[in-house]
Amino acid sequence: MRRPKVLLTAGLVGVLLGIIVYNGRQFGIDGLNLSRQVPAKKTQTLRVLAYSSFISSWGPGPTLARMFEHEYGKKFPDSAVNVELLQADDAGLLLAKMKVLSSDVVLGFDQFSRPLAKKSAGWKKHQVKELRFSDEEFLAFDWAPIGFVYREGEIDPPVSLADLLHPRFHGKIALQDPRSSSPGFQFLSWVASDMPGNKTVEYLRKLKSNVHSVSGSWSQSYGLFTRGLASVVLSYATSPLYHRFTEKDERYRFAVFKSPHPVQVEFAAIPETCEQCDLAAQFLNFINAPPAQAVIMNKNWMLPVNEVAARGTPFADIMAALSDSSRFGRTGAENLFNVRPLTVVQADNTERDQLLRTWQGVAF
Amino acid sequence: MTTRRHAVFWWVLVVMFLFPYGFSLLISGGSLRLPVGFFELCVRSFSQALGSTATTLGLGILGAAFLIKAGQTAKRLSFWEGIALLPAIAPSSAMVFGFMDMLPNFRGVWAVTIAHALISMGFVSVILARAIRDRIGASLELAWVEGASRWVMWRRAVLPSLKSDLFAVSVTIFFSSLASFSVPLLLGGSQAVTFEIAIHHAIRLENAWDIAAALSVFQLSLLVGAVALLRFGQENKSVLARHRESVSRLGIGRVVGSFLGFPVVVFGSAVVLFSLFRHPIEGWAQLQTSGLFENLDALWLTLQGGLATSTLAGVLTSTLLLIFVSLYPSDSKMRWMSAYVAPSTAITGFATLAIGWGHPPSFFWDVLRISVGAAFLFAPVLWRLRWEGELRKLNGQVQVARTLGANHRLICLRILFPQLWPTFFWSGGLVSFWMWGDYALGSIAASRSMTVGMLAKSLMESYRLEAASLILAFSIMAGAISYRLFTLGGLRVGR
Repeated sequence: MRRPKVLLTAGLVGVLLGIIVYNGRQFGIDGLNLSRQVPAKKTQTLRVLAYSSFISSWGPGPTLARMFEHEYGKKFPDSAVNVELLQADDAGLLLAKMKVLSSDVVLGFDQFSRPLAKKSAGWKKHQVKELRFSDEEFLAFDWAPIGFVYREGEIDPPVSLADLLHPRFHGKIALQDPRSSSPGFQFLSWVASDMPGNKTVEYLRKLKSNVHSVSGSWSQSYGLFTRGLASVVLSYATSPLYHRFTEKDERYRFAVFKSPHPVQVEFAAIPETCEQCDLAAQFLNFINAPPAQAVIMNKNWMLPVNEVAARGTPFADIMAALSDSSRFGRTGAENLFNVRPLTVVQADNTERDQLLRTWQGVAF
Repeated sequence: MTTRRHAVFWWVLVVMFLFPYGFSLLISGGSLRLPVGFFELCVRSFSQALGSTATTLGLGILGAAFLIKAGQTAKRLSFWEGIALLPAIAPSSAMVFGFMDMLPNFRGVWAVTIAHALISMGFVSVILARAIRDRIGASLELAWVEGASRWVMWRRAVLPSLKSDLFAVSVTIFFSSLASFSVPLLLGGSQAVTFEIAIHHAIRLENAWDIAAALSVFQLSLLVGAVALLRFGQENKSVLARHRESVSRLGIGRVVGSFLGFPVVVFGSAVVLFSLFRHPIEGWAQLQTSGLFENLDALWLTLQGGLATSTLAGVLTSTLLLIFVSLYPSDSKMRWMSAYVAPSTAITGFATLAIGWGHPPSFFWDVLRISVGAAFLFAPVLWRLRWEGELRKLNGQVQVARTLGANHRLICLRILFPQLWPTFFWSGGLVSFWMWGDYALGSIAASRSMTVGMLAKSLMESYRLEAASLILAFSIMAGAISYRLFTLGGLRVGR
């Protein structure tokens, strides 16, 4: 009995140690003091904390990291930089996770988590100027209007919030829960600002019979839509482009409303606790340059803040559709696009609680 | 081992298990704040959890009757148990998506309750069927020979003898329903509230650790209440035990078995399989366009991460339970363990970030964090399901050995460990199975995407639901292989 026991335990321990040592060589195991071979050049490590889909193989993170390392190597031949991408699950966990994972750049705040981030941590000023949606600490790197996506030929698209109450949408709209999803809260805030006071509750009650489901996250909700369980989903104006380019499916469309759409903006910032602060500042500069913006646009399926990156691409068409002054009857910097100004689509905790209570009061 | 050293070890374990609770207090700076609508949260969470528990138990008993009827040979039994267990180990979103496909207009508290029942009833069926066979199989056959009716046997023999098992299973289902997240959100709508949703909301949207800590402390007080309640459960000390002679009792299939429970065992798995394999061709196409196969390093890291975390989590959980058992826990300590539930997955995940604090992120620390977190979450569940029963069975032998002067080492090496090896490997296998599909814990505890479950979640967040479904199906297969290897190890060592 003793021999197989020993063999089995040794086998298990061997497999585990093998994996750990192999990875120690590949990725560095500081816990075991088995660090990667030291290169001849002086190497600095830049730690970037972002949500998981941003740093996945198909997200923009790995490509951006390689591009930055290459560009830095060209600029400073005597030294090298290693960009280490750290995941924080979703954007909601960035603040919580940066308390325990030291990082030089945090990437993925939206306009709702930005005020909270400002309140609960210190941030360095970045050196990038004159970009849409940014302030001196939080640099916007992509954005997208939010609204409803549908499949052409399956249903007549909605043209306004009021139109969503039409019986043709009975049990067909997939929404996200504002308590756990940022686009979900965008929708609630959109309804509240277009139909203030009692009208919000009234609207939501009427909408109830048309709602197919309220999911905890955008991905679940969008999954229900792509599986054909729902015909209309709350999503980004850029979502149809994914289907068009990746799946060669032209049926997906974004319903452009006459009233302004809310926008989702993603920000990057440098925490005051950064170790490689100069490198972090360079990285922020880099992600707002057209080449990096193009990568973000094509892999994160969002609009670039630096419009040069979108020129000649279908992303520019979306921007054009949203800035069609003849259609929406407005021009000028503030309302260049048919989107609500950012000041409107952010809420403090009290407003948020109040809206969420309204939501919970209407039993979907 | 001296009594003093026992006490030291015991307190080390207590501190370890209470650490996730303490961590939330530490991060909140000791301040506590209950969320707005706390009373409503309790009422809704508890009523939903009670409903889910009652439905699961009712259907679980029916499923147990089917397993007893259909599992007349070892092969058949393994097959039906596998089918019954699938919904409990598959990701809950697979169940919910399939459920919505099949019953598109069924929503609300009842839908949540039934979805929870679909997820857990097979698991409960397996446990109850095993308990019936092992504990009262012989008496039931005798009663049948004497002419007792099926109804009388269920009412007078089966249900009373399962009282403590039903209680242990109820506690597990109740707490897992309180901690449920996707199911109530998707099927219950805006009225659905559970503690996990409230904690999620506090941490992710408001960064309000004081609320998360307050909810954790409340959970801790529930734990104390459960300890007191479990005194009731101790009246009947026969709890779950490993089945050794189950298949040999052919007669009990006729006595208490019933084909009525067939849908209970099959329906949940059918929903999950339907959901996972609905669009395999689209899934494969999405995987190819994702660029996953072009970045083989990342894929390789994920596979290694999955293998390392699932193996280490299984070994750590079982080792923790083995250490606990080797301390000869008293009745009150066993009750403590039976009542323990880790706080929310999110809080437990964050607490594990204290491991390797100050060290740069690395594969080693990530694997260790996820595995320790899994041990916190699964050890109490497995204790209630099997370890407690095993230990109680061995208590008599331990007492005799101690009376005869055997020392601690001898008792562990000659009595406890040899008889607990199969349970050790069974628990390890089960945890390993669960961990292949984990993303909730891994995505908080790890600094990079390194498990198969996290890969699937990330694919889902990038428009690739069908690819994620294929990956999840793979994680179930990998989990099954892992479980089999562990249990084979148990059989080999136990010989």
